[in-house]
Amino acid sequence: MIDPAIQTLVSIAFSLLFLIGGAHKLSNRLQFQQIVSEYKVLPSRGVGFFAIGIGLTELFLGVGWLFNHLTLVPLLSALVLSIYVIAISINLYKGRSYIDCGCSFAAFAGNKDNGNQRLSTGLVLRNFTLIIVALMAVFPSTTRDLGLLDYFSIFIGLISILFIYLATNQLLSNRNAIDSWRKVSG
Amino acid sequence: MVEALFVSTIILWIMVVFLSVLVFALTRQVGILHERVAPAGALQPTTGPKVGEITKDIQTNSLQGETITIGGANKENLASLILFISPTCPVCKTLVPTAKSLAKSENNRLSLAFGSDGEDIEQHKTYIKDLKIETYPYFVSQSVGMYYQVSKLPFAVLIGSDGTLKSKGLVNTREHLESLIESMDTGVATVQEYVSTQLDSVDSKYETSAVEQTS
Repeated sequence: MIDPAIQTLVSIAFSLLFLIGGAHKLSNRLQFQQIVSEYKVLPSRGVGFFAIGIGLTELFLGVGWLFNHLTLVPLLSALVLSIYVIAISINLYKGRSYIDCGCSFAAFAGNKDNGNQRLSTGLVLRNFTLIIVALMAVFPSTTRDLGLLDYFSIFIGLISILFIYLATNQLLSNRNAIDSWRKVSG
Repeated sequence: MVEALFVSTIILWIMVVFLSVLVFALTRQVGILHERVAPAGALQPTTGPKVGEITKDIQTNSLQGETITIGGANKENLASLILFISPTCPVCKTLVPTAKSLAKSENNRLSLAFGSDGEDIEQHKTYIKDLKIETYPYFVSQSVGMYYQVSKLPFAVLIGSDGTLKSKGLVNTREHLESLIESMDTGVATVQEYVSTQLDSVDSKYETSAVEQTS
């Protein structure tokens, strides 16, 4: 049982994440298609179809999260995020950490140097955290009427989550830059 | 009591938002620094042997009492990093530990030697002891310095195992020293050359996309 304020906060946060992510992927379809093909986990013929499919699925999930009581949406979200984790892990295992993850909003907006986020274990951990939080929403919430303070907390909480998420992405990008330095002992 | 909790919650939330914005701003600033700071490389003089040329092998004696060869092909298949330093150069003292750590991490393909100039051999011997570089060959030779046209210190020369001059230049920081190795690995002689090739590739990319858009 989780508090309805927390559940609402998680739902709106995931809704925004998927809606913005899906819209970005569809509006920059060709760049995203290129990113998906660089993952090399799909046959080249299916890449275009899959790229559109991911964008549409994310939009669908984004809308679905707005309906608080659907347990299918958190489960599907966890499944989609797990697919991302698997694709990233396969490429990390193959040593192809230099490819763009396609998960940063600025990454495929035409500006390659600003926001390009490469694959890393940090990215896998970030997605695992998202999966755990998404699955938390499957649990039923307690019945409590939300008051003014709850709505205030949800609103401010969303702003905090947005900045913490952006800061995490930026840290992962900075880590990429640091990893490109020459390793010198001492 | 409830009112106090209400107020404290609001204050705490405001602080959480403020701190989140602050953390994001800090990470973004670090990111911008990574993007904006251009790579720094060793300042390469135009005199002396050119990068890519086969260097002349010059025999000299190290202060440790061994005969060493500077330049030419290396029998052990190691590249040689020669760092020219002097007891009278303050920057050299700070750069020596960096050169040692660099040589240690690249010890499978790189050997390090120190070169200097001057007549007071005792001063050089004390200098070796002070810097704890007894295990690295240290030679005092005017002819080697003249050959590589060492005019300012600290100056580094990187010679490939085949005897070709891979890179050289005035080095003041770790980044400058690392740029010599980077230059050997990439085959790009200077940072200026690297930046111009990058700009050329960006230009050609934009030209291609412009052609695509207009066609």
